[in-house]
Amino acid sequence: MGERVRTRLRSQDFAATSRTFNLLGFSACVRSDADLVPELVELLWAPLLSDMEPEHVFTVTQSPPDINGIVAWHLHLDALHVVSAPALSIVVSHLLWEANRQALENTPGHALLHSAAVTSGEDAAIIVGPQGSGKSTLAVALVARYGLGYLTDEAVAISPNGLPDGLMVQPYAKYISVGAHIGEILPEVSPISDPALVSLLGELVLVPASSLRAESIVAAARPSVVVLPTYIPNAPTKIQVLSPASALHSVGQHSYHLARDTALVMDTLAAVTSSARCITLTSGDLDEACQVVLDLLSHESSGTAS
Amino acid sequence: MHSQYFDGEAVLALGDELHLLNPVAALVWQCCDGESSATEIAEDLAEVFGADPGTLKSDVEKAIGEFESAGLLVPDEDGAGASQTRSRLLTAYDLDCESCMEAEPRAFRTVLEFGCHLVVVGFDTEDACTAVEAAFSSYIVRHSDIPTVAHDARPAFSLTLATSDVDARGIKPLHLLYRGGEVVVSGRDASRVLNALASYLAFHGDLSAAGVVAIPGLVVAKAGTKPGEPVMLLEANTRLSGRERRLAKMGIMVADSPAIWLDPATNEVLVGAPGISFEPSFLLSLAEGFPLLGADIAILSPGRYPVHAVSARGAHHPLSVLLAFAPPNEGWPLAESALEALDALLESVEIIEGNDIRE
Repeated sequence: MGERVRTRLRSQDFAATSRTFNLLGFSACVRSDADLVPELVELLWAPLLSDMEPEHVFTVTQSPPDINGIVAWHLHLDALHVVSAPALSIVVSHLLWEANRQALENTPGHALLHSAAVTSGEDAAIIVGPQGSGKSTLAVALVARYGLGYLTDEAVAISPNGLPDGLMVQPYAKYISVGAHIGEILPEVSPISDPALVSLLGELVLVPASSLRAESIVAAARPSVVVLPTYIPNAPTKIQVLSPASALHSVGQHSYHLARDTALVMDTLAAVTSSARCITLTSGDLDEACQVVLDLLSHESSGTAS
Repeated sequence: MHSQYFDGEAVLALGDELHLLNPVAALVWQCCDGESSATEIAEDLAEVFGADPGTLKSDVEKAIGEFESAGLLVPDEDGAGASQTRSRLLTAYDLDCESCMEAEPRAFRTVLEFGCHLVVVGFDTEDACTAVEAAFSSYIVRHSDIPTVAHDARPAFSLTLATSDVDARGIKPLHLLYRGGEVVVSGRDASRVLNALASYLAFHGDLSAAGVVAIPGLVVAKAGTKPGEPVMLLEANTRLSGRERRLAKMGIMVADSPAIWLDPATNEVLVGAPGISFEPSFLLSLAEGFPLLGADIAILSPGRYPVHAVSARGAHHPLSVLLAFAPPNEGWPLAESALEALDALLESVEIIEGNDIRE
């Protein structure tokens, strides 16, 4: 963003401005004509807020009615146009999506996976799978019901082996996107319910990470377990141990930027699958599935201790 | 191509695809050096493992066949390595939209190179293809330089040139310029369609070399405005094709371009196709046999025009105008430079509240 545009972005008063949120390598704030939008993003990204000067600015503006009396809401990132829509909820959904995309685009030097991650002590379990595989539900249950630490439900950023700390999963404690019936499966979880904020979310059902459980937000941890879950209603719980090559082949399908950062992604994920326990987990029972992950992490912890 | 080996197994990464190789396939893969034949590889493996070369050969050939069908092994052609430095192929917009999918495939096509883009242009007739290739002869990509993918790509732009036949209403059909599956310019004047094509192509060219930035929006002016006379900029909040017709009915002239091209040094807008020179007589000669009915929309002539005003809804503050004309977050050439230039322009021109043309 050029200095001239940066100055211009500061030149106009908005109804409200959020604190800076740091999403992996992307930092930004939201300035909005609607005062609820900054309030919403501060709630959704509460663990990721800081008082640092943001590198980027999202603006949510409303244009006056046109000749047909229709108003429009607009979303810009650093004055570049993202979307315009008649409903504020559409703009908000694009804001959340775009911020996450920018996090993925602005975190160089890491292998990025579309997956969830939870921790037990210094060990992280990476839960990898496509949408609908149950990875978010499994991760949320492990945190809310079984007391594990929460790293992310969206993007696992793994620092490569060559860095001083070695392979580490970086925290990205964003809100968790869940199904509308999450309350029936996990009554411990509390999606946003304030009617004013819910009206901004449209069809989205989101759980702020800070509402999961006190002390659930944790620091970086080493990847010790990789789980590829598949939820099948009423199916018995089964696991299959994967070879490092099979695990890399499966996990790599869920990586971001594989074509762009091939060597970094392949080397880092190969180091993970060579050192971690990698399994596929098929289950129709959430608690049984959780127990498998807990046992694997417990085994890793005891192995480390010994 | 990147490979990882683990206790016999291997994983290969090609682009965004991963391939898992079992121990036998991984071994064969390591022997594929571009020089050894399947027979030689089988003989080498047979020597190492003490097996029968004849038996191994079928396994090796099967593995190599699978590598080839997966695109992991390709013929070693001269110059193939240069493909990484070639221009990026500009594909049709909105490939997934229903109207684009239903678009008629074009029988003829040519590939033009503008800036860092290869642009596939499709035609219904060979005459039209030949005429446009002649008009843009300096931008034609030689056949040997065209990436394989361009041969099968859906054209980013297509031209349907009217024939001399009349339609059911007794008038000659329009010439049409498509972007993807959408008609972006139509007119009964063939030169107008060619100019519009050049404008769209210029948008994908090297604008910085032409000294201009692109800004989303529409250049409008009073009827009869000529180069050098003042124009106004409107935010592009509606589809250009329908809007320009309404403007034309009010006697307002418009620039038939996908964007406003602003020269930051002079705060002038360029109408035409900056950075592109072409010879329109080839297409015009093709159109000579057509009973042209003349332009039906008032179009600004190519040239430079000073900007005297900018109009947008919510223009009570320069930031609002900046946002109203903001380039999209992705895919817009020189987006940051365009914002800076636009912001500077706003300090020196009149800002008009409202975007209602009737005002």
